[in-house]
Amino acid sequence: MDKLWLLWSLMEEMLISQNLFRIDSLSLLMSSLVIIVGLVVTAYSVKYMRGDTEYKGFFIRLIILITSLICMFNVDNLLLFAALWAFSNLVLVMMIVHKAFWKQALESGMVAARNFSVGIISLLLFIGLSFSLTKTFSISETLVSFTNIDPLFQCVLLVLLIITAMTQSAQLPFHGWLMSSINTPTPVSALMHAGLVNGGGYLLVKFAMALGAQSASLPLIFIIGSVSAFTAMLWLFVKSSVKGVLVSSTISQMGFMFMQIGLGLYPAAISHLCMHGFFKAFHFLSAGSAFSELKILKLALNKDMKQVSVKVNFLMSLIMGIITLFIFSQASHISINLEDSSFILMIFIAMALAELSFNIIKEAQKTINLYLTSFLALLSSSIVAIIYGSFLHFFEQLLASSLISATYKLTALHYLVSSVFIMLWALMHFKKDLLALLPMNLRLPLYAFLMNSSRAKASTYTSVRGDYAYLKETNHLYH
Amino acid sequence: MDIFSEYNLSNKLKTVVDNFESEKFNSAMVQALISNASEIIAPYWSLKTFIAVNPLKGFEDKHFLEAAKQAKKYFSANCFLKKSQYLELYDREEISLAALNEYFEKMVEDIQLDIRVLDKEINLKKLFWEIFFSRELEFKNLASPSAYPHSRRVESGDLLDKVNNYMIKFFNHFFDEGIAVWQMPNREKGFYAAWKALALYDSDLKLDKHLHEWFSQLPDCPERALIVLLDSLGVKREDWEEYLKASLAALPGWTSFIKWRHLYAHIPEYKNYPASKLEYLAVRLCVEAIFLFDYFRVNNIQLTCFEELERLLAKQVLTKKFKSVEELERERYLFADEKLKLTLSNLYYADFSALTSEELTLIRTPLNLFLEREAMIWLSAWEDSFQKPILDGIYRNHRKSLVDAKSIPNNFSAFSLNSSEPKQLAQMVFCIDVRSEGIRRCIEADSRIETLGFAGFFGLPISYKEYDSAEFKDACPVLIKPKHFIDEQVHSSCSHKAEQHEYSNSLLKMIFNVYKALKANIASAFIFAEASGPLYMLSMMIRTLTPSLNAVLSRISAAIKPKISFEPMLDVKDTVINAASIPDEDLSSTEVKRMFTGLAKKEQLLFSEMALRLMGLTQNFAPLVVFSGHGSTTENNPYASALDCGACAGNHGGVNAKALAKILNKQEIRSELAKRGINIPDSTLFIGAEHNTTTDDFEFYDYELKTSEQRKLLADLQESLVQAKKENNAIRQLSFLSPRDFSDNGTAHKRASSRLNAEIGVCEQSLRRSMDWSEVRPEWGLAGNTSFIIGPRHLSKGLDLSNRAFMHSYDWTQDSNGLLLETIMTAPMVVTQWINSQYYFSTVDNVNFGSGSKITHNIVGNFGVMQGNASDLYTGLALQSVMSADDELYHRPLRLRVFIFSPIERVKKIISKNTILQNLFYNEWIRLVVLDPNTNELSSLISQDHWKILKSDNTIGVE
Repeated sequence: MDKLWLLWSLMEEMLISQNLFRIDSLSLLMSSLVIIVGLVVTAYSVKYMRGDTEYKGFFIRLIILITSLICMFNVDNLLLFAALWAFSNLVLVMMIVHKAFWKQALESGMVAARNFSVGIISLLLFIGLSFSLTKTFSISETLVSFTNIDPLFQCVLLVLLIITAMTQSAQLPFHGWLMSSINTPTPVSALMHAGLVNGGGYLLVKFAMALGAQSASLPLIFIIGSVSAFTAMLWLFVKSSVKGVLVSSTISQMGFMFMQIGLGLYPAAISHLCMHGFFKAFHFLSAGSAFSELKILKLALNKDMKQVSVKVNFLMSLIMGIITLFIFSQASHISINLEDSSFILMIFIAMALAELSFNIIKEAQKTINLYLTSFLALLSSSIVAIIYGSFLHFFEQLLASSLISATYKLTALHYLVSSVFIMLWALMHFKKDLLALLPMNLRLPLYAFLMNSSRAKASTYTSVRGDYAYLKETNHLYH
Repeated sequence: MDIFSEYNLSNKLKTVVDNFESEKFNSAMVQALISNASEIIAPYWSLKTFIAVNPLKGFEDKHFLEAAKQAKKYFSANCFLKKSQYLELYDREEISLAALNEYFEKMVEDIQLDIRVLDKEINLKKLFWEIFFSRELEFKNLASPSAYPHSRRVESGDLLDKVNNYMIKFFNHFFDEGIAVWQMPNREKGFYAAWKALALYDSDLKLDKHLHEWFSQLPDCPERALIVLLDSLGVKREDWEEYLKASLAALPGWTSFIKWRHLYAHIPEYKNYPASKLEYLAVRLCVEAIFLFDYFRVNNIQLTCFEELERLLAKQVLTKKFKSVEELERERYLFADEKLKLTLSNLYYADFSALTSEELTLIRTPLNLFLEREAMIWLSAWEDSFQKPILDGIYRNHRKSLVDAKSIPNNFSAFSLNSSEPKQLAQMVFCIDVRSEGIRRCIEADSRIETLGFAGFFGLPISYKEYDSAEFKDACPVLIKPKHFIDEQVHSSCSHKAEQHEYSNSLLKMIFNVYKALKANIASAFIFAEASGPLYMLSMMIRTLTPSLNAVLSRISAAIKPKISFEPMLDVKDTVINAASIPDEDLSSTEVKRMFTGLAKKEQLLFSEMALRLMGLTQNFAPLVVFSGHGSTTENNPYASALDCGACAGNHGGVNAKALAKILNKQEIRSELAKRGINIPDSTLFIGAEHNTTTDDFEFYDYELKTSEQRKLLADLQESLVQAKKENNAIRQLSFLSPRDFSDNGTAHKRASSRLNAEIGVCEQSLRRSMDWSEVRPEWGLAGNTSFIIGPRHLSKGLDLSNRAFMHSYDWTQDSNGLLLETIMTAPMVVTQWINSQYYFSTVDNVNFGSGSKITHNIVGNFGVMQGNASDLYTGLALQSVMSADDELYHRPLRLRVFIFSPIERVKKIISKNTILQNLFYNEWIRLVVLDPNTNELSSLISQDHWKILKSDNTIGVE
């Protein structure tokens, strides 16, 4: 007993005095995300994976992965962080493969492993360089002394950091591994999309102070994010498999999170990261429900009333979107400032609220009259604005001890990017299949481009039916 | 040197096109070629209405073993279990030695075994017996793979993979039924045209200047293009069919989906985006040609003219000799000369080392014949061992009924379905589905209830529109194209709730549509994901941690949306036009169909009379007659429709039951039926119901109880059904335990069964399975099916058939001309054979005939599943539907055994009239056993016109 106590105090000594761990609101939040999703995925897999030859191994890896992620979010030592980062990714690769005798699954794992090694190498370079400059492995100390580093080195360090984040969060051009990862069992996808892809965003937020040292870094992240958010959203539009859609959506959502970081809105980015995790985990776990959803779509509506035109509806909902944006601004304590970077987020929120109104007006009109409908639309988008606004404010308060937003003055670039989104959004109300508006000689190459660029790596296609295997064939003499 | 000089390529193509014109290839010829080639592909029903079908349907005119060879050749698929699995079953005594011996001896008779070598007379039987039980020697490979496409995989780099990948990509996008927001351009022009337009911009094809030129000269008509391409690829004319077969078999899942979509699906939307096997082949061959050109270019193979390319292709790809089966066998343990000599020496205690190669060949010839039949022996022996107790039991029951009949003089109806004494409580008619067997057994524990079996669509060839649904669904076997449409209305007793019902429907649809729109939107998707995150977190935790809480949620939703009942509108509207006279094209929209709803009185009478006669219910009606259709409830399960009623085209069967009950409750119909000899007493009430096969709940549809007597009877019936539900649930929960739990000391099993004996627990378990989103085995569906019993229930009563038997009621005394039996044999029996084959093949080779494990399924286009990122369309049943674990069988892959209780001459006459039956019986797809009530002989059909008497008993006669 005494020995145990001694051991414990020794460990305590090591952990605390060496500052290997640092627990703050951010790390707690990330840990709870992983715990909640991990718990659900584990409970889900108990029945879902039953009968699988890898049943035990699956759970062992799952528990190890969850533990390792929790540790990773709480360490304050660069070397330990990198080790846990690499280890988590290694376990993830093993889980992606799941059954190595299905060679395309193995290939999916390899694709992921190659991608992660780029990230890890870049992270190691970052650590090496920063240690040689700051002489410390502690993350918090590194952050403090970061401003004293030569600007040139600062740039190099930040680029390395951003590359690592991009590989983990599947930002273009490092999206291939996530696109090719559907050969993995559903629960692994759920955990991966809710947990591990968030690593990139987490890394950037953790080094938020460092990002502030170079004024170009945030706009750079904003651009990286918006390219991914935009492109992956177009991929989502052409994808025709349920899990393929979910993967495109994740890349796009991660892109949006990068945009939020790029706007200096760190708490908002973390909130998005967590909530998207739940959103995506749920969708993966219910990826078999496509056919029951169809039944709702086929519900008969015996009333069909006259509807206002799309133009009128769009105009109405646009106004509602702007009105409710002010409500949101009140609830979230984020002021509307046309020149501040938070304004870009506001634009997206206004579009979302307007979209909500638009669809409610469109759908509710089928059964009730226009006045009631408009009222309903305004009411529901106000409620959403209030709830969501207070929610964001809550996150901001929650993270206040470790993170604060660092917004800055907008440039033409930001306006340009958001206007692309706005335009596409507005146009899609009038024709959902936007491509159909284009002349054939533009439409075909664009479609072909989206079709080909949104694909998984060819080597991860199970191109011949018999290549798929769920059981290791042991005693066949020839095949 | 540029091998693809403009001159060569384009001119060549031009000559081919010219030839095409001059030789007058007509489209009939191409169509014939394709329809011959596509015989090897069976249609695959979309998962929306999954229908079990024999994946080797195209080979049913061949013997089972021959079909197995073909399957090996084209699909590299196995049609038998592994030998180790049969041996394990033998060890577990599921296969009896006696049955093995019998088939082994029969095989020995067929093969000349005595061979004279080295002046020694040896009998090879010993050798064969040794091989038979050898664990090291797997079954002989029945056929070598078709020369193409596997050779190409080896010979031309990864050509096969590349072409397959390309096609998979294209299928994914072309066939989408609503997952993608942006559709592929030009889909309405058809598969080939859409591809041709898009291919020009497809970077995968790398069309450079020359290839571009070549490509743009391809004919627009897929038939012509196909001929041109076959020519360009250097396929000899005599090889065309074989080549096309191999091209279709390269992606068997997708091509079977195309086959269904093109030929079987009567879905109007499909006509808007047409795709045929011909178009697939044209595209595939073109892509192949392009990739081949590329291959030769990359590998720097110098060609001076196009003819040379052709020659090279022919040499490299098509005439490339693959190792023949014999060559492969030679390398095998027994076929290597030395090893064979050694084996013989050890077995026969003599020196065989001096055997010459001729003498070895002498031995190999019978050896080969034996090895080919080996698997078949195991299968047949297993079937016999497995069926023996059932046949014994039936025969015992038969004898007992004869004895009973003797002891009660002047009672001739003992043979008939309805015993002389009318049942006091109810008659329940169930679908022939194997799941009905279990619940029927449990219900019959109450001796006041009689049960019958009948095809689950209750003889109504209708298309049904449920009140809440926006479209008509076929509610009859897929081989019938329904021309009658039935619409639904709110039941008069519920009209006051109708409005609230409507509102909640529109609310649900509104919320769903808004949700859909926000989720896939370029601007709102981001904020939506974030704002809805907390809700998803809650929902996810509730669903996972307490799946039964779902029940609470559904109760809440029931409060919002009041449960109201609907009744079918049977009477025709006052229109003179009959839907049957309207061409199919005009009957596509729901609106048009609604104009023709209803059944004329004549039809109502016809269908109801036929149904009653077929189920043998023409006298002794109980006060309550319940028609019980069936359906399942599962959560998050793409295979949900595979668990619903197959006789209702993969839909719930309650609607048909409801409709038939309503028809038979009509006074006018009853009086007409009375004129035809079916007297239904006024006191009899028909009720439509639906049996939930996942939870064993019964839902009774609208009924009007006239007397207090009926009210009491119904209450009694429902009480009995609750008891039956508990019992059947307990049995069902045991079936989910892995056989491993039963092994050794069986403690796990005991523990589980004692836990299950707490009755409340089992019902909750079933409920949990029906609602749990992580449950991959909500119920076993039709897994386990092995036999089809056509005859009165008293023959199988009391036997534990463990949900393995389809059962159709049949009373031979009411069917003097054999018409009813013929109907049963040509319709429901054929369907049961489809189901049986689907389960058989999905179990023996789940990769090639089934769809693999659910854990990596990826739903594509709202019609099917792929494995992982992208793959062939995985047709057939999922691993979890037929196996209790990756390496543990649940379903017993046995061919259907049909048992008929009828004079044997009648059966023979029916077989001689129907080619389809001859195919199935003589080619051993189905094994037939007949019990003749006149002679009391139980005989089994061995081969054409050859019957073997299994049991006969002269001690008990009818006189």
